[in-house]
Amino acid sequence: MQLGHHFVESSPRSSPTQTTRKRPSAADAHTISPPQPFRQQGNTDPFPVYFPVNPTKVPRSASANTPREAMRAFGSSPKKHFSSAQGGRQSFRSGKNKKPRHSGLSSFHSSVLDLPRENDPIHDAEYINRVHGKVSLKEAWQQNPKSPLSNYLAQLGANPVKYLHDEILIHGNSGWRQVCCTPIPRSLH
Amino acid sequence: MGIPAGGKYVVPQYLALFIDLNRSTIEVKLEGENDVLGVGDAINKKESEKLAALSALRQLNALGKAGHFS
Repeated sequence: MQLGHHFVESSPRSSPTQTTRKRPSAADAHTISPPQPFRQQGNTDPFPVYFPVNPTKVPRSASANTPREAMRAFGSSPKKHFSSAQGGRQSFRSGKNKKPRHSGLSSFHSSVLDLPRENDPIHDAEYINRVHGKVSLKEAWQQNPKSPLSNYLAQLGANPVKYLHDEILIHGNSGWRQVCCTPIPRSLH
Repeated sequence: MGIPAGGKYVVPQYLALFIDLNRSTIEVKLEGENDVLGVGDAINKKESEKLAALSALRQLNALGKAGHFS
């Protein structure tokens, strides 16, 4: 399988010294310290979840002696491993090369529909009131903000309001992003 | 991950939650001023639209546009 094959190729630390340590001679067996029992359990796979391939197919020279070495070798290209393991779900994260679904959108909306960055906060009610709540707003408008905003946009000539949706990831969570398009006539700007 | 403790491996336990989030955004272009972009994230679409409208309304209110809300 590709995952196991990639693991073999991307483990540059399979030095001859490790190979000799992996298969110690009878004289070297006395030098192994007692608090390292996992070296003596060389046939047990320390990470059975992350290795979908049959461990017997992996050459013994590529297998790490210690868990730290195994993690170093495994962490050489973690994205490729996870993308293979998740079976295509990772494609939503790789939004750099992803073409926007709505080709007819403006540059603003295509940028909105892009995947959020890591520092993109979740715009919940607490965040909105904390960031934009410096000026007091009427309680009725806070409870039903769509009505006064619709009134304001109607005065600008942006009626009706169109909504667009796209699937996104927010903080690693899959969901749908809605984009509210308010086509305002240029003459009223 | 997998740090041996006392000769045995500690199996890491992970808790993952799959949460569907909806984001609504609304852009209001203002003449001679910066555009107002209201963004709202919520579990359902209706609530995210409400939050996006609230965000845009608060920004417009800060710009002194409250007289045109009603």
